Amino acid sequence: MLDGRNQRCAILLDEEDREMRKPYLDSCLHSDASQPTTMPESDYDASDDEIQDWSVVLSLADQKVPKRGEKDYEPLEGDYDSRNLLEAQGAMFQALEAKKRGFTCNPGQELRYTIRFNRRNQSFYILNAQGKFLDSMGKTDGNQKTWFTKFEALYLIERGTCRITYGEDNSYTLSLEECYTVMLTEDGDIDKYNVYSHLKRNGYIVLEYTLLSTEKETRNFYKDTNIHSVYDKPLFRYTFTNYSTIFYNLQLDIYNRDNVSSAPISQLHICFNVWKPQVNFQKKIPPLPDFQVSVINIENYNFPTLNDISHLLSQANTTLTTSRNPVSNLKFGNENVIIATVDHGLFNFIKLSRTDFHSHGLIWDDKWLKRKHRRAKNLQFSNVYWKSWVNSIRDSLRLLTLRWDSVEA
Amino acid sequence: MSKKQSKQYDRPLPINIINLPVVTHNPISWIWCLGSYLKQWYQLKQTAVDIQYCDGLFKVSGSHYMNEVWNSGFIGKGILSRSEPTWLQRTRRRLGLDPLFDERGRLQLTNEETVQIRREERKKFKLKREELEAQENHFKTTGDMTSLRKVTKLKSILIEENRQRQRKPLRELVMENYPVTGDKTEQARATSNLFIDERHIKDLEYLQLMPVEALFLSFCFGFEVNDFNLFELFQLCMSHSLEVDNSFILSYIVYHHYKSHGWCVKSGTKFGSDFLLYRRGPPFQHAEFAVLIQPNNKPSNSPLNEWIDISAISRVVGGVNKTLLLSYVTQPTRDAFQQALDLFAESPTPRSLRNLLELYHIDEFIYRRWLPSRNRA
Repeated sequence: MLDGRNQRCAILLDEEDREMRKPYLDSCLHSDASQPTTMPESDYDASDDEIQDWSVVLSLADQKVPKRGEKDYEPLEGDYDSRNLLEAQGAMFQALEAKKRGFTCNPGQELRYTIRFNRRNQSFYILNAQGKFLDSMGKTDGNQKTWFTKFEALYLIERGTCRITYGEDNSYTLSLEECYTVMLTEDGDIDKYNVYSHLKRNGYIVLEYTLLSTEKETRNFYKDTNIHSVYDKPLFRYTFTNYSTIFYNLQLDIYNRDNVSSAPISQLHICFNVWKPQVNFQKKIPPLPDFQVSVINIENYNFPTLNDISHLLSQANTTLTTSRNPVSNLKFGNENVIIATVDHGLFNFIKLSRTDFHSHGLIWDDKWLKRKHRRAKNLQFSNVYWKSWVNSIRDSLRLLTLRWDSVEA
Repeated sequence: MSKKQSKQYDRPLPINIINLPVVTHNPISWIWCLGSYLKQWYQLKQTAVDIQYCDGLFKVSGSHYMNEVWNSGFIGKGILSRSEPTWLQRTRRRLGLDPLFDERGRLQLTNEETVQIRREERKKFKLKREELEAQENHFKTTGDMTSLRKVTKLKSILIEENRQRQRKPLRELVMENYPVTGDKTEQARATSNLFIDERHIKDLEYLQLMPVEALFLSFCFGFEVNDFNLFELFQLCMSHSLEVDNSFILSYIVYHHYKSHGWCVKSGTKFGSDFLLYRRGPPFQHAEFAVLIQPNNKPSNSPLNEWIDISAISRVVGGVNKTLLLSYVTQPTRDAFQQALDLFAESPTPRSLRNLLELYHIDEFIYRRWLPSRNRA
């Protein structure tokens, strides 16, 4: 889970801003300092919780700070723990003490990095824009103006790449707080922006949602036609020669979706097309997106119903992950959409994919019952025998070296 | 998976089939094949097991019948065992009536006994590790770095040794540590009315079936439940409220759907879901999917709870390396349901139940957490 606010305050801010937010910032610092002791112990993906690791900053400063995630289960007596904790805290404070951040660019180039904000039609553009960020953001027209969406503009400002002024008037630069107020006006904008900037910071290429192609990639599942016959008496009155036929006979016709005619109606829609980080990305003719993200505030929406999901998936069209293992394909599914759930600035991502056990075919395999050929069995035996020898030799060698090391120590 | 297991569980469904030999270009093999078919057809025995319904439970008793049902698709649960009904075997062993090894010297262990042996091994290892960790902490507080390093080394040796021990065949562990014969004093403690005679004890265990399993066996394989006909059994399972959105019928649809696609379906209560799907069965591998049934019109909860519930379940399911599968069951209209139900009541045949069930539809979605930091490449 991610705390957008927390991150933001670490990434901002110039001097007066820090003054203004001091109480809040302080509370953040303290909660962060206590992190090493409150991190969940057994969580298998604790590494995903992206809490700033301040020791990285200090790695140049030649100080030893414990690595995140490595800790003892109980606090020890003495100052072993508290010393480590203090060092980590010191690292964080030192990192935050660094000199102010804000808009930076080469001298004389300011105008190329100045976003013009047209209040009347809520549009943003840069004249003669330049910079690496143009690879995946903005649209340039014939008049050398590059137009940005409000999320793109806000992200550039927040990152310190650009500054923003009202129209062509260079005398006044809007502060970040003003930007939030004038740009994030619509309902749900703040949620969408949080998700947008989070994905951008993770290196993804994010554009507003458009349906890029209606031709969908479909996975070639093994298809079996005419699979069931109707039976009137219990199956065991018949004679079969394999189990697959029995399974086919058992299948009910409940997966045929042609009968479901009602067009799905739903308020949910996809917000962003997302691509994995890549060079040579062409923003004018982008390839199929790798992911598509819909933003839902969980205060306002229930968990999506069948209608909601069908509606979202009917808009979706992404590249498919395929694997040679058929069961993995079943797990990757056919169409998929990512739902970003937002709860007061905390957000989680969920991936929903439509899968189809029927067109995948039977999981039961009649080969499981086939007795192995005699020669194959002997071969397998010798193979196992050989492997166990190799294993035992390797194990004893490893133990020997370990013991030898301990004697030396 | 051992060969023995593969042979024991060679029926995915409670039905016998005719095994045909390989047919080649040689005409003799055709005759051979035909002969084999006729011979097996003559010997083919299809016996349906009777299910008793009493006290609201579906039961199969008698150790032969229990094994018959369990071995053909892992249906039911032995009430005195973990899953496979092994109470009789374990109790006979405990009372010293059966040896640990059979006449050919093979180890005869039930699942429960295997688990117990492994657990005890682990307990011993943990005790040793705890001691070393206490020493480690002691040296940490006193600041004795050389001793600390020595103890850490010892700990890594212990862990390595334990890893190798885990790979040892069970047979060796049993030979090293456990008594080969049962305990005679246990025999004295057992109540006398457990014994039929000197060598035999009563089988107190029965196999309990989930209602979906009972209906499946009766619907498809003609197993008899007391003397109910199919409609009466259906009524009973629906607990006499024949509604279109009855939770039983939804779970039966889902059960039947996966069962008929060759999956082994077991209850998923352990992991907060409705069903677990095994590729072949519990003795062979871990479950791949956890199924959560999503009815079309759910009772309205507060939106927050729904998100929290499903997120919690996904965490649990993800923590045990399974994939969460949401099965949305679409219901027919009330009228269509009533019409099919009336027909079913009139002629309680598998065919009319089938017509009723086929009014429903199923849609399947995989739910998984997605992490931006993990999907970049």
